Amino acid sequence: MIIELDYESETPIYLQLRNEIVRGIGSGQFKYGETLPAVRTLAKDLQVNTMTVSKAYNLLKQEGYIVTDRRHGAKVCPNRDESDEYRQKLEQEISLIASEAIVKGMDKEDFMTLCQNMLQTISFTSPRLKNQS
Amino acid sequence: MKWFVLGVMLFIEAVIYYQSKSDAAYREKRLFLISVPEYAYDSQEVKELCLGFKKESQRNYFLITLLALPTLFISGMIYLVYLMAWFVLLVIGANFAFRKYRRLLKELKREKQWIVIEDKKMHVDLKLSAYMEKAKTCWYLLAIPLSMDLALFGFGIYYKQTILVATVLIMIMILCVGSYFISRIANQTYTTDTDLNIQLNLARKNSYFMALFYVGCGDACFNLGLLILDKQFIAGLLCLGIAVCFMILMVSGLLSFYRLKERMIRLHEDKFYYQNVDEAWRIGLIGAVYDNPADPRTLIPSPNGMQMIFNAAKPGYRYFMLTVFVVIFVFFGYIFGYPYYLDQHHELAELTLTETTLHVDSPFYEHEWTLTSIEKIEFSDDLGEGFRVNGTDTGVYGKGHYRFDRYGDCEVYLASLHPSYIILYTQDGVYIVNDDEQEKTKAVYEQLVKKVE
Repeated sequence: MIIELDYESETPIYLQLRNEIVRGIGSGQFKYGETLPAVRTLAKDLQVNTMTVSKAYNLLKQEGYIVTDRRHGAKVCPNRDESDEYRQKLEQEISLIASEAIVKGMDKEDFMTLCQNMLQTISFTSPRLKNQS
Repeated sequence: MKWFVLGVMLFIEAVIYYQSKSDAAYREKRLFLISVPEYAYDSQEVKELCLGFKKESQRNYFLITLLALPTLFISGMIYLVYLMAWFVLLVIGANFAFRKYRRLLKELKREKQWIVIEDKKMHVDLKLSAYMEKAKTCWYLLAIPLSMDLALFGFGIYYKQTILVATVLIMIMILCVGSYFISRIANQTYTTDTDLNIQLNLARKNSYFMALFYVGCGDACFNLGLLILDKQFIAGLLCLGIAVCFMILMVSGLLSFYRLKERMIRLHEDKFYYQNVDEAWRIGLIGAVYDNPADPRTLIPSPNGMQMIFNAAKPGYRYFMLTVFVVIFVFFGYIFGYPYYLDQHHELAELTLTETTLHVDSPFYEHEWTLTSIEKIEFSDDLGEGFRVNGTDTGVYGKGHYRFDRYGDCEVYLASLHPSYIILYTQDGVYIVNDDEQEKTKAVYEQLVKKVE
């Protein structure tokens, strides 16, 4: 999976890295159970401090996208989160994006089409979901 | 000797010429280190620029070659000064044409508004990184050149061959530091295809590693060849020949990755990423320099694709260059400065005469002759015309096998700045020796004459 980082962007590198990995999981480029590179290796390839990569991995772990193990490193293992708290957070973020889009002049139908097209690119399914279906 | 020096000068000039030509060539949508789209490269204006560059570059190098010829006819201090001035001219003048045509192409690009989409983002293939963690190089092969160097180090200490010891130590350091850096080299995301990225990165790592291995073996064979050349001529020549073969293998190894990459670009051009930051490139004293503070990479592929060069914006680059200059300074200081210091303090060479032996002792050489082995003695303050066949000559001391018109083949142990010499004709051959104090040499000679007669 190829990630893009913009070193001149105002968004911190660890956050860009976190976002790219989440997108990769969502688009199916990172399969459930797949191993991510070690912190040192990724830091060397990104030419950043190991703390930056470590921070990104810790954030992903806290948010429930990966699990880390001293022996096996980091693995893609997203947890379901159907709590009200998470739903509220999601609603707030979607509300912000939707407001920005409408205020900037986008049609509501266009916005819905855009969201549907985006969802088409998301191909992630966890093994648990597969078993349930 | 002057012909040999001229040969070396022209060889260095040829290397810089081909390096400059290679950097200026159109590769990965860059010409003269300026990003240029393919349709623009095929245009008449660019063809004229390329032709102009070729003619001017060849003319400049031809003039520099002509300026090297007077070195055959001058000597002494003027020769040394002229030599240094020629090298400065080569380094500065070699890239005149490159700089000029780069500026012209930049102006043309602006005028024609050629667009090349600048890709300033960093691409990293996470699957490549995960795969390369487990990829192993044949690091154990480095044990071969390291063992050879350690053996040569032992020989150098035993035979008091200072220059051999110094060069072997430098090579051991290069092997250790080089293998460390190659193992830590950042993986490069060349394309959108992970399998292609893995193939190219494995090839790159292996080619750098094998180049280091061949350089280590070649250097060890070269030093061994020089060490045994005067005693075992055929074996010494064989070692030198093997050293040349290793150097050829090294170049071939580096070229193999370059050729693979060129082939992959031809087959999968649409998959390759091109980073086109024109302003980050400039022409330095000895070629292309990459200076981009916004690029986090310390090492980036050189324009010709064969090696990695430093991002000059990184603090690591300054430390690296400082280390290189310090090592060179210490090396030359030890080879030339330290003997000179010893000479000034009369600690360079000590000639001692006992009841039965004549002994010469120095931090760089040592020899003893029994008085019974000496058949004839002469004293001279001018050895006449001669040259070094094998050994050391730093201008402060000389040691090894020399050939003089007056004395033929000799072994010398000389403090070169003090022209008073004792010539010993022995059963083993002719030796020339002196002390670092002329009066002492003369005094030892007079005592020696009485004892031998």
